[in-house]
Order: sequence, then structure tokens, then C-alpha cells
Amino acid sequence: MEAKEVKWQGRTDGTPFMHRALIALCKVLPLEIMYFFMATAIPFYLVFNHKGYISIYHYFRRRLGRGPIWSFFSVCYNHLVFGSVVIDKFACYAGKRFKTRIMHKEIIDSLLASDKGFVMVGSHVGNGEMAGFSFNSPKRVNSLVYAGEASDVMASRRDTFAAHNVRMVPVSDDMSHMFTLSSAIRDGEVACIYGDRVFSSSRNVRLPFMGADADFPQGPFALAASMGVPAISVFVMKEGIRKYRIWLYEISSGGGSRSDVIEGMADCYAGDLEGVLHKYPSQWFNFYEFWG
Amino acid sequence: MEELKNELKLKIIDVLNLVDLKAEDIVDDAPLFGDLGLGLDSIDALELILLMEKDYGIKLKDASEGKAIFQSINVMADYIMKNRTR
Repeated sequence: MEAKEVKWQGRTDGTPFMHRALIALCKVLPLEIMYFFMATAIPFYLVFNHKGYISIYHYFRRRLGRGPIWSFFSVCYNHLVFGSVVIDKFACYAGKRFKTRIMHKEIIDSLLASDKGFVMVGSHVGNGEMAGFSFNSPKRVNSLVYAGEASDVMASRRDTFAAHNVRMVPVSDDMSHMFTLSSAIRDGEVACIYGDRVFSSSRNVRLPFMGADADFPQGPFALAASMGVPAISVFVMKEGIRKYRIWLYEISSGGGSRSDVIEGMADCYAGDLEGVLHKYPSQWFNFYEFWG
Repeated sequence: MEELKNELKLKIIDVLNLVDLKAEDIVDDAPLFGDLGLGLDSIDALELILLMEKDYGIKLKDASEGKAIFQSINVMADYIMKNRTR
């Protein structure tokens, strides 16, 4: 089996100095001013990050059926919202807090009250990173992160995550992340993994999604199915300057063989993701040809 | 030991659904992960972790220990011999 090429590496743009400066600025400046500075950089991103621009343009044109001009302005707005989410992420590292409203909270409450571990499946919509630390979980949350992030981002994340009982588990070529995650689930903890990005396995499930077929990783669903624990999808969506709404859904499998269960779970997750995108079409942040 | 290695190969083929492989195709000291050996991936790693637990009563907790154990069939069999509870 050949390792699948990772389509997008999940790195936060910028140099370590820029990350440090951004965190320092977030500590002293109001978010509105940070957003204003960020907005001035968007035209440069649109011009110089052409691949990201094109893939999001295709998303609005082909998946949401918008016209060329509406799609162009939708891409600009998408970049604006993405930029503000990135600022919010650094504001979190700087110690700022956001108002969050949790929909279907009973789902997470019962899972957190149980002795059993579970899998929380996040996405690259809204502020996915916030999913790991939005619930004041008494159980440790083990969040799978891309190991290629700049060290400053990793260090800042580690501090923020540690304060919320979240442990970062970097994806590793030697598969050590799977030992850590399986052991954590066995101990009744939470594993938090993105369900819309292939990290370290060539095995995907091809599913109809937003009107065309797309690949979803088996990993998060295989982890839950193999270990016999529940899985939920978590979408942290931006609704205002300091406001997020968190949507939770149970991921059901439909039964059958192990591969049927995994495919059923992935299909359920893809349906939830599609529903959320219809509510928040501008918060799709997979900047590559997802349906390629 | 040879019997255990053969049993392990058959279990790996079964659990990972490696339908094109026979036990004799798996070289005892070939790496299980990466391009040089069987080329297993992270989902396969999870299955091997569960196989060790269910069939041999070995709970792998330490990531650094785990990745060393899954180096090859030889290393896995040796570890199972020394630590199995079933």
C-alpha cells in the first residue's frame, strides 16, 4: 500500500516571528482592530494564493451553484471569515475567551458523564480547533494535530490546550499517534480527530457530498468502530465577533460488517457536515480541490 | 517460536484483510510499516494494537514501546512470547 499524498498540509501560514507578534498584538488590541489589519492582507492572499482561491471559487460555483460574480465576492467573504477565525485562534492563544452556545448539549453531557471513551470528529469548517477545548471536559481530550506546524504555534497551542485538559497528539509516520489514541480511549478519554482530511492512511471512503463524490478518511470512524465506542461530530461555527455556536451530532453507523459500519459512520458524518455547510456556506476552509 | 510467527502472520493477514498475501510471503524481519515492508498504515496499526490485546492479552500503552514492537514479525513474536497473558 502506498501512502496517499496529503493534499493540504494543515500548516498555519507565517513565520515564527509573525506568530509571536500576532499573539502579542492579540493580547493588547481589540479583535475589531485585528480583523481590520487582517482584511488588508486578503487581496494579497487572493492574488498570491491562487490555488486556494480557485478551489474555494469552484466550491461556490459547482457545489453551491452560484454565478461567477457572486462566487467571486463569496470567495472574498470566505477569506475574510477565515482570516477572522485565524485571528480568533491566536486570540485564544493570547488568553481571550469567546461566547459559545452549544446545540444538542445533552449529547456531550451524557458522553462526558460516562466512563467510556469516545471519538469527537471535527472538520475544517468554522473554528475546528476550538472543538477540542469548548466543553470544559473532565475527561482528557487527545487532539490529533498535524506535526508540521511551526514550533511557536505548537507551543502556543500546547499552553492553551493544557489549560483546558487537552493533549496534542502529533501525527507521526511511525504510527505512534495510534498507540496514544487507542490507549487514551481505553482509559475512558476523548480522541478528537478531523474527519475531512487524510493524514496517515491511504484508506478513504468515497461518498456523495454536496452534490458530487468526495473522499473522506476512514481513520476516525475505524477508531470508534474498532474500539466499540461512540463517535460524535462537532462543528464550531462563527456567528459574531466574539460569538460561536457549536453543533453536535451523534454519528450512527447503520450496522452490518465492520467496513459497512465505517462507511455508514462516514456517510452520517458527511451528511452532518453538509447540513452545517448549508447553514454556514462561507465557513468552508478546505483550501484545495476537495472534490478533485 | 516458528509456530507463533506463523500464527501471527495468519492473524495479520486475516485481521488486515491482506487477501493477496500468504504467510510465507511475509518475511520475518521485514518492516511492517513504511514502503520497504508490508506498507501498513495507521488503521492497520490500530488493528494490530487490538489484535495484541484481544488474542494475547497485551495492552500496549506506551507509544515508544509500541512502535518498537511492531518493527517486524520477529520482534512482535519475541515480545508476545515474553509478555502474553493468554
